[in-house]
Amino acid sequence: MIKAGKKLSQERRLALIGFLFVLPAVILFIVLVFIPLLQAFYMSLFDWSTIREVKKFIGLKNYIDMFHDPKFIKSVKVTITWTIIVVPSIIFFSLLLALILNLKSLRFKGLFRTIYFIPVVTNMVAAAFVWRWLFEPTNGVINYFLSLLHLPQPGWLADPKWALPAMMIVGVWKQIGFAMVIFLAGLQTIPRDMFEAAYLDGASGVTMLRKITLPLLNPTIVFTSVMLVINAFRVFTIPYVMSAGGFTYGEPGGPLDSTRVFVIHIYDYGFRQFELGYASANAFFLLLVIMVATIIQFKTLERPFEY
Amino acid sequence: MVKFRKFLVVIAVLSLLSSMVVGCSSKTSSTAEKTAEKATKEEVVIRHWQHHHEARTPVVKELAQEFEKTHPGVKIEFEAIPYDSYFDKLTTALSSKTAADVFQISALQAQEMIKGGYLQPMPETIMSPSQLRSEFLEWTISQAEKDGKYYGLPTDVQTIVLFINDELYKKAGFDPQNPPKDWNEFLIQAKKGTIVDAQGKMQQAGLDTRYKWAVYTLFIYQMLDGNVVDLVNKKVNYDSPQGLEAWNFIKKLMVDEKVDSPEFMTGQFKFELGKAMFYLNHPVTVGRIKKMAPDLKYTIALPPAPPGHKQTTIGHNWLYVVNKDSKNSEMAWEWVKFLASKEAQLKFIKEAGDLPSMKALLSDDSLFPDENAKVIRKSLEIAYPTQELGEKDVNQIRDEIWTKIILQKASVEDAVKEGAAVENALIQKKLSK
Amino acid sequence: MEMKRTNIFVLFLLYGILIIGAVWMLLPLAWMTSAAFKPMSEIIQVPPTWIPKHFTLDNIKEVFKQVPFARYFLNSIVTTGVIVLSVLLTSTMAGYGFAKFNFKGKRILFLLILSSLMIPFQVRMIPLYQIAQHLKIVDTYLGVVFPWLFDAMGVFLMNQFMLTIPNELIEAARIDGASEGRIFFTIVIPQLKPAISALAIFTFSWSWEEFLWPLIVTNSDRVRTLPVGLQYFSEQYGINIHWQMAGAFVAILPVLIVFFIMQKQFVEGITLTGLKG
Repeated sequence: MIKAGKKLSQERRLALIGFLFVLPAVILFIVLVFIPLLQAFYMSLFDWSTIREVKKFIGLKNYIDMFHDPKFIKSVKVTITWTIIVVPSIIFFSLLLALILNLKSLRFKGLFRTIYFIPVVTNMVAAAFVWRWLFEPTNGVINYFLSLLHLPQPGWLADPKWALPAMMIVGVWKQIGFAMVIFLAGLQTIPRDMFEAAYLDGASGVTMLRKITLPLLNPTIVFTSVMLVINAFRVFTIPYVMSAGGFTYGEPGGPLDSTRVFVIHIYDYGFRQFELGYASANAFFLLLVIMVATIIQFKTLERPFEY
Repeated sequence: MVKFRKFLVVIAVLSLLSSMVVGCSSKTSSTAEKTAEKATKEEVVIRHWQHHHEARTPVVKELAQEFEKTHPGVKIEFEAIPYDSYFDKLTTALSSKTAADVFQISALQAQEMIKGGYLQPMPETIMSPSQLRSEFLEWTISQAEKDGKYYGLPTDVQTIVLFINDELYKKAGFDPQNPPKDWNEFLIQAKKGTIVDAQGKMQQAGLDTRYKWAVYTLFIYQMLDGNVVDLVNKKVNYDSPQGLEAWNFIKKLMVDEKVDSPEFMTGQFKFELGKAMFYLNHPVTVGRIKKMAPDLKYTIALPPAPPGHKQTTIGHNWLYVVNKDSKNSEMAWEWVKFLASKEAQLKFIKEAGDLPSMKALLSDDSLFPDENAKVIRKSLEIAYPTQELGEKDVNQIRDEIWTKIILQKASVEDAVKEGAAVENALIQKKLSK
Repeated sequence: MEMKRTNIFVLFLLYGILIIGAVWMLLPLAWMTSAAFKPMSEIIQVPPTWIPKHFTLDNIKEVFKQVPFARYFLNSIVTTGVIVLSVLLTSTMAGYGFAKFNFKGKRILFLLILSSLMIPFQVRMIPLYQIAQHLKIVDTYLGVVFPWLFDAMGVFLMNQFMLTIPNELIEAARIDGASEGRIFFTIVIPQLKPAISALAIFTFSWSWEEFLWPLIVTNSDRVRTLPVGLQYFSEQYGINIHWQMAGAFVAILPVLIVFFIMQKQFVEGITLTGLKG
């Protein structure tokens, strides 16, 4: 009896200690995530502006107004375009690179891996300034290369048609290394004897890729794509830095809102026009989209979370 | 593992450093309250914000030191904020009551800010309204007045003038002594000054239009004889037939004759680098040319007029204002007065290439030694003050009209009507609250 | 025999792909480095010169003269340092608590924290700014760092790694009478060095380049961080590209140096993250 009681109190003691270990994170989670989230939802139900000094409950009107706002529709279109082009491009290129760099017979693999990883650790604001100049239509290096190849030289960031593609090139540039390293790690978990057995059965390289590598790599691909999709919905620095600036460039998200991604849209309403209620409603919409996208992607991932 | 130990050392050093600095920062942290609290004990701290400008920032720093010398116990905390984020930062800070004691606003924001209750009127002890009116050029202070009270003193007074690159102008077959007088001449000459290579790529612009605000604002003010904004009827006039004529002239320049392109040297100093023949910008450009291209020979002329109109230009200025919540407003106003004083203006004129806002300085011939400077003085006298209700928000609307006409080849009438409707709504919103 | 010939062709193709990709990756860095040491007139030349003809250090000097760049640097180091430390501490502790203890509500707490991975920062941004206003920490170091003091990803990762530590190790120490704090710091933490260093590196590299939040919350040079400070060279009427490139060079260089020294940890760090996902 005594022994059991002691055990119980020991169990309680450990539960308490465990809780204490978790406590700092839980408190910070509540203060920095949970309360702001509730607050954001609360604000989204108001016509709330610090400039007009209004705070009036309007229910779901912000959410309804949103769908009649051409800027909202434009920014959704821009963000979707960004996501469906940038994410598959990154996955394609980084998977290709990872497959090449996973070959045994190749040399200088370490060097190439380092080079491809450099953009990941390069400060994005600084890099965006550099890219803006590489894309400069007259003296920029990119148009210089195009002129050497006798290709047409677009106006890039000055042209509403080409501004977004230019920024997407930078978005892919920044994240290839990251995805590549994850794929390399995933490739290393595939047992070599599977390939050997397939080789003995007379399978060609392409067949092995299709039948062994890609299926076994599938969880890694899904994981990477989930992360990349979340990143794509949240992109801000690249379009902000590359589109805005003085009188010669213009407003963030320009020219003519052609690069107004969703976060620039929220920033514009929240921190430039101070329509806090409306901006919060937009932010909540973003949360909803990310949740749905994540759940859809995880549905295809078989391995559940362990904890 | 060795590397990992190295990493731990780095982290340890960082943390030590950070805890030290964070420790200090909580003492010197910049919330207005703490500054004020400290101020009553030892010294008066005046926080001053303005947007960064490579020529003006050093001048203000110098002036702050001078002011501190003559006012013992006063400290000027000067922050130059990058132009790109200046307006965003200012509005954020004002709405959260963390803005500086003294800051700079565009004259076009003044009425809105006075109405919003962000600014403090100038006390009579600093300067009486009648004294103010007798000393400063009327148009530089007109926006700062409401109900007989003044809320700021002028700085960064600018007009728009035409810069001509002498060498390129001569090469195009013209004489710098005889600059274009009207739009038709201007269009023909600008076209001659434009050089395009065999592949159709621009090599030299006839007119540097990178400061598009200067171009469209000048043309619509000239065409409408200064009556661009109608505050009584809460609307803009640039969508009238006459206003459309001005926008159509822009289309002629940029779309039909292609004297410049947004894709030609985007964001670069085309004129300063000798890649554009004409350039419309503020006289302060003189300072930049001196620094960037000291050998560039150029002539300054009054901007060409629409056919049948007198030669005119536009004037635009900024104001130094005092925050309503400033705890040291007396001293803040002293500092503003000093910034707009004769000595300070002379410094701005000489070192930053600024223009005077004091009438007395206009007649000082030593400040206008050469022909170019005399043209600039003349421009001050014939300027229509800009009267927009708002700065960045209004510019955004009009920039969009410009971009639609030039990049999207939209119909001028549609683009202008659409933009004017948006701006009218903005004016009505601002005047109704 | 036939195999060999195609192999050479394939090898050629593979290296071709790798090299073209590498040029793309290095292009901005190469151009930036070159431009940082050239006068403006040479930067805008076509065709571009890759090795400066008129080599100059003026741009670098100007950068430090015109704006308090050294101060921005210090600010970036301080804020990044605080964030890294805090994230490491809260993540390892919480990871340990979730993995090795049982208490009521553990499951729901863990899931709640995990789900916050999906919440974009932008949703919390406006309320967080209001919190900063109420606490009067706008434009202070604390204001810059506080939203990042805790990272759900860190908790998740640490939990995954903690699970790999055998329970017997901890229980043996407990029987020996070691205190819980001692067990955590001297037995658990050393087991996880690689994982912790990976987390540290990640936290460092993203917080070093955080742009949006410092842009909003800083007003003065006292706390402005490097990415925000870079904006100074975009001016009203044009861009001083030579200074901007020198500024970018100064901002990028230190992280690159750290990266080259510790690149193994960087790459392994991602490998670990990827595997455990």
